[in-house]
Amino acid sequence: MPVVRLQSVDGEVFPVDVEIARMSFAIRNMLDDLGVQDNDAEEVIPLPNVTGPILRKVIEWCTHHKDDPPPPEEDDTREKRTDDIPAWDQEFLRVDQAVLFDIILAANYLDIKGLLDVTCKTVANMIKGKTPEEIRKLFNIKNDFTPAEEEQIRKENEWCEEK
Amino acid sequence: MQDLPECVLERLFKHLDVRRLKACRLVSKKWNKEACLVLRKRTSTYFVNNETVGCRNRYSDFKELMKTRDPQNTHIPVPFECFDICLYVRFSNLEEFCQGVDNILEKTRGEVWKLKVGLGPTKNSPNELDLYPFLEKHSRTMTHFEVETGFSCKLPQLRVKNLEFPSLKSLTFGISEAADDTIKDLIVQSINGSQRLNHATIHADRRTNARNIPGTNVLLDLMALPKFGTIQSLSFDVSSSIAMASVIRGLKSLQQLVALEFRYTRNQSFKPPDDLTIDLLKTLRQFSEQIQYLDLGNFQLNRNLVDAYFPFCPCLKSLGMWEFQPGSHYFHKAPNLKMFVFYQNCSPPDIASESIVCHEAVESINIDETKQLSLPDFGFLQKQFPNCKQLRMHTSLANQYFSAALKDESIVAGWKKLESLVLFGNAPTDSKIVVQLMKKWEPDIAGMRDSVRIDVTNSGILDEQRAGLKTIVLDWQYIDTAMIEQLASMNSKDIRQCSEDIESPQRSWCDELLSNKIYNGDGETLCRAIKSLLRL
Repeated sequence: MPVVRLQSVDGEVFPVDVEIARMSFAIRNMLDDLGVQDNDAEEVIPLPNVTGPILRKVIEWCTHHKDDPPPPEEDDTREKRTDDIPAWDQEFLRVDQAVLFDIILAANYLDIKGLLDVTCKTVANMIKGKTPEEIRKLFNIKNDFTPAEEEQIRKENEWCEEK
Repeated sequence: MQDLPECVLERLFKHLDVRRLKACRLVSKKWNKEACLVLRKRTSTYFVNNETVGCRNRYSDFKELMKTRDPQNTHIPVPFECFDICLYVRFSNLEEFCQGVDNILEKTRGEVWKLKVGLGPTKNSPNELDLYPFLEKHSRTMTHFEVETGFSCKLPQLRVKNLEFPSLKSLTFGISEAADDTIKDLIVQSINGSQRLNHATIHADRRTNARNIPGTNVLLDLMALPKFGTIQSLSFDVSSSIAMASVIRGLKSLQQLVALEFRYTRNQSFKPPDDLTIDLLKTLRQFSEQIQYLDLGNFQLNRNLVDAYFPFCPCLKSLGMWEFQPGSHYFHKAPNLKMFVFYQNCSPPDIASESIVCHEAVESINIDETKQLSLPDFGFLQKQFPNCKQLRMHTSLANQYFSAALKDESIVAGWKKLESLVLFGNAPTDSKIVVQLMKKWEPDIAGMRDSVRIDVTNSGILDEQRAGLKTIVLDWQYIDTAMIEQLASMNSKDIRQCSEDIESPQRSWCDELLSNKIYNGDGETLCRAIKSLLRL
């Protein structure tokens, strides 16, 4: 199996099977752009936005999911379900919120749809049942609305119905 | 945890429903902006000129909205540009309403996506009624158009001509005995003026005397339009033999159908004569190669005829039949069937259990309206469809299922792959039986905990569209102490999830339930407390 070497921002180098690395559309594009051949095993791909520990987690996830079928087409007119996170992924994502956040950012930067999806589902489940104030607390967000603006949104919501 | 970047928020929000997205709008300006992008695709603003109690967004609400706009027009609380309009011509406020709608649309740069026109008897003088300007203004943006002709009365004359419907995807119309050339012209224009129409729902001969002929002629003329033949998905609401015969005649000219639904008024059944049944089944042969979805709803077709004439349908994925007859041959003619819906079991089955052939592809069974299934019936179902993953049935039936399962181990073991059990309807589920079963099923329940969610919810609140969720739904109105104890004995994660789908105003009542603030062993107190929490 041909291998590529991925380098994290803190200098750690991970040899990864090309097929697994190509699950990231960002890496896939880089490999295609570089015209990397199967035998260029010494090629190192720097990933300036991902730290070693997070990259290790990402590679672990990709390795476990390398044989997954491609995800089905999206339908934007309905919410996607969040109760179908596989048991392995649930266990895998049982991490600190900060780590979960970094995995989301890495999945987004590396463009790994499956990982981004499952992490978003996890965060969606954290948001469910929470009030706006509780959500702000969870993400450390400052309320930048004036009371009048808040009132306007509440009124708007009353006139906004599911299709 | 720090705030998420915009691009991730957008992905995240695709996993939230409208109610939660509305809450997310209130978090911060950034969240509001991203939540709106997702909400925009899923929501619309609904206006109707009806004042009937129970009608959502009544006309008085609309008038109130017209009043509250300020001179700068910056604070109209209509957030997005997609509108769902319902016009009843019988109200004298029609003209004023249409003007008001146009005003708001202009100010919000809104578009009418869905329009329903109710053409009932009108107090207006027929000459005054002119929907044409409104239709002409909005037909180009409409994705859904519905024309309801209602009761058999003289319909108002409409002036309609040269309308275009380039966005129209779905069309609904009723052909009653009152159907005349005016209605026909309107429907013909919407079909011929469309470019991407792919679904039509037709109420054929509804609320009319079956002997009426003009309405069915209108229907035949419409179905003979070349453009009608390109519609891939059709639903028929047929309520008489004459209407059914004309629909079958109309179907003969169609070739491209992939989805066909035949219904009779809900909760009733209709027994067509044998010659019509044969004619229908023979007609199906014409598009048997394409058809993916077929629902013959609550038509009591003669089952021997179905077995004999059912065409080979290699693409058929979902089939709805009046009754389930164990061992029916027609299942062999649908080798890729995934979902089976039925309304009635055929009892007693005169077939030996051993001779039943499995249909391994079927993963989903939906038992609609049936009053009774015996223990052997469940046995036959399990034998024929051993790989069922999703079972959906009426709550009253669930009692029998649970009782049967308690009496016979094989029922519990029968569907090994079952991961979803959805109970619907208003009949109370005997929660004592459910509890007994949960205890009996302890190992399985434990094994199911990761994948099965329990909703304790009034089925009226429950959105039946979500039937695909891995969910057990019980009716909370009838929840009793035993059930609560069983729920409370499950781990808190399950309980918290179960509270999610309740339209609870702010707090999940289950959190309070678990901390014993509400529940003190008295079912009635609990019921009151839940009601007050739900503000019912």
